[in-house]
Amino acid sequence: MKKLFAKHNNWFFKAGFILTAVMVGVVLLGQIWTPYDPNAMDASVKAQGPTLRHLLGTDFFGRDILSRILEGAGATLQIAFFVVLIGAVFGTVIGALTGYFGGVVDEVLMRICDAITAFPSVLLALIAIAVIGPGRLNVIMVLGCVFIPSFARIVRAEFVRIKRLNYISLARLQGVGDFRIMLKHILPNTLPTLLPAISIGFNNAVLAEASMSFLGVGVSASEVSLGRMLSDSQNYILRGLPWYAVFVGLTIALLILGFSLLAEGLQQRR
Amino acid sequence: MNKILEVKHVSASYTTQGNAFAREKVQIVLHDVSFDLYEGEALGLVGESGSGKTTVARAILGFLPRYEGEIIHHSKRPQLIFQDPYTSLNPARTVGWILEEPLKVYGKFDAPERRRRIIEMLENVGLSEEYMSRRPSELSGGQRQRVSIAAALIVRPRLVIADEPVSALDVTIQAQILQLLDEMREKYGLSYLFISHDMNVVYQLCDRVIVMKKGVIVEDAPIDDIFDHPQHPYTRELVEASR
Amino acid sequence: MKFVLKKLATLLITLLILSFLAYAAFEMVGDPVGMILGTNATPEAEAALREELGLNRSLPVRYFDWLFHFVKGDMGTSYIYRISVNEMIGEKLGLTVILTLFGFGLTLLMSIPLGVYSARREGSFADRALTVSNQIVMAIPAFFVAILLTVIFGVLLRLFTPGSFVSFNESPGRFFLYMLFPALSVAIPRTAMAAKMLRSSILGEMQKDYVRTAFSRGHNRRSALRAHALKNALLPIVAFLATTAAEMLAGCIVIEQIFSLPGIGRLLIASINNRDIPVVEAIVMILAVWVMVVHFFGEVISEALDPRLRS
Repeated sequence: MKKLFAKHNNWFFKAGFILTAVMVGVVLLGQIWTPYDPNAMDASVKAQGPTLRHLLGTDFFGRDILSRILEGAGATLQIAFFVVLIGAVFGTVIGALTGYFGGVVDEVLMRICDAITAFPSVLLALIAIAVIGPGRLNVIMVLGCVFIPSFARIVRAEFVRIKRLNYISLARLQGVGDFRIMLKHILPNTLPTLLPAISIGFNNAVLAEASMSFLGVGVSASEVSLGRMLSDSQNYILRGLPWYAVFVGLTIALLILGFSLLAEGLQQRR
Repeated sequence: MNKILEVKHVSASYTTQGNAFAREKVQIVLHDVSFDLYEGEALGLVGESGSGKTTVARAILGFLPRYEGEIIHHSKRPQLIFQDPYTSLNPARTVGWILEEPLKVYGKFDAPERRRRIIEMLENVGLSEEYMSRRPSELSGGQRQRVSIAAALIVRPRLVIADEPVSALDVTIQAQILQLLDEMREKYGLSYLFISHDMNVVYQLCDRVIVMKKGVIVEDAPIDDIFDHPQHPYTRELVEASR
Repeated sequence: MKFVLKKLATLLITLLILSFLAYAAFEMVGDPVGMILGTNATPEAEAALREELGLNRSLPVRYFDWLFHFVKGDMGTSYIYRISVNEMIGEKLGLTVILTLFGFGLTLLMSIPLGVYSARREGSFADRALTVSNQIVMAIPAFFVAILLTVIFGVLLRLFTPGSFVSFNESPGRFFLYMLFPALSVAIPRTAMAAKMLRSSILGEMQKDYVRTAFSRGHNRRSALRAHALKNALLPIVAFLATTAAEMLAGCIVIEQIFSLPGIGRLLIASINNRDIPVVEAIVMILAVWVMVVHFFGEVISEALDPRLRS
């Protein structure tokens, strides 16, 4: 960790790290404690703007928006985490194997990956959800699968590049086996590329989940998520009460911004 | 004397792909290359770029998938020292790890024994124990080449192929490294195949020299003969150029 | 030419495979008959409807029948509304296309001057400020831009009424004004990305030898920049623009919801929720064709402009 800071001592990384840490920290805190019960309705404070008691205002049912945002952000981050986990782990395995061994399997798999990455991920996920139905688990599975090809591509390119380098040839000469080479010799050298990709992955996962839930094809209607809340907030705008939408949108935007800055910072040196 | 390597009538070529603009061409890289390497000998392989000397090395080490002829090894795992010290070491690992890997793979040493050998080898190449925790990016070209040598020798090979090991180094460092290689040869009873384009460098280390041009061996003689009575015109050119 | 044909073949094959996969996937979703007739339907009514809709045939047969019609322009009949899908899609497709083109055009219009300006003033305060703000804007999701625009221009400044779409027929002027905001929402984040890429591409070109020779021959900075570097700098952007055009479509789906635009994005969502399979299939095919065609053109143009191929 300290090494990361030393290597990437630029503004983007610092800003991104702080923003991400703050956002994630707040959301994690929100899992144990929120100012109010996100589902508690209080008729006396219906549809209010930000006040001292309700820092981000209330909705039509008198529910505290800040608490709901915390809960929704928790769901969104949880989904994003598993999506990136699935995408990165499977993508790395596939990319490593195809990049190192090549062959017909490599050609075929890469064509498939190219076809999948040609499509905007939200579109693919949308269609898949249309088939299997909404719900948190479904979203994770679908988005996870949609993310695998892009990770695979990145890791494969690195493996193809690195396996030709002298120090790998030397390792083979010394009798190091293929899998050990892949895992211990090549993989650590792919981190400078993999880490920003993971950060961008979070970026895209949050965006995708929010978009999908917004459209109603993400988490199911009874579950809370930032996207769903954003969709609900549309009604509020029409009646001239914009703060709900702005706050939810701002939360999403800040989450994404944090990851995006972090990714940019990881790609730059200084 | 025992032979440690026999190269018999090795030929290699590659075909460039044809396309709309040119027919496919067959490029001959090696033609009927034969020589033997004896135990304890330092054999120089000299030629300009494109003469095929690196291809010979690749064939010997098993990096060349297609060739004709025979290559017979009488040693177990020949090692290699590369020209470029900057790509020969894994940048993500420490020197200690790099040197430990081949020992781990060999499997017969426990951790303390491995450590002992690493420190011993580092001392051999003139680096202190504290280098174990350094990363390649923290080392100079000369230091890296020393580590490369240590890595090559730590598995106690009997044959070491050195492909232009000093060409990328400063002249002053060159001499140090060459001396180191010589010392190691004596200490561990090694045999070298020393590839270079520079006759001067070869003179300092080798007992015998093979001269190659365009994939063919043009002369094969002991070092002093090469310098005093070069037979082939090309050899004569090289010797003249080095004076 | 061979390259183009090869790419075209790949394109068609991929489309075929995708269409089959999509079709199969949707047909497996569930029985639309139950949805149409409701839970009180008798088995005879269900069987009759199944026969009428041709659902009692096997999958490959249904697929080829559908494909055959699709290629001829007939996209089938909606399960829910019982009118031809073509009718349902017709105008909506036009609207989405207009939105996409509008957004794409805006992106080009805004990003090229920005990229060039940034490159020209490299290192200056303006450039650095732009770079930082670019990075931030790039991360803002299109729908948040949409919300902000709605709030600022719709609610506060009352330049348009959020949620009430003005069709072209009603009033062309107000139509374009209304469309401006969704288009901007899609364009702004992409512009940031494109400007950033353009800037680094231009700067990269300026380093190259041929530009330096131009300098030495007396071209001043501006003309050297414009004449040679810009053309070459645009080359790697082509691939990016192709991806952008494809992504814009996905972005449009969300934007249409926010601005209540009657485009195929909204239709797609509604049809998914209604289980109106023929409509979903048709739209998915259209989107797939769009994405693949855009990528195809992107690759062909890239290849054609590649300086390595200039003899």
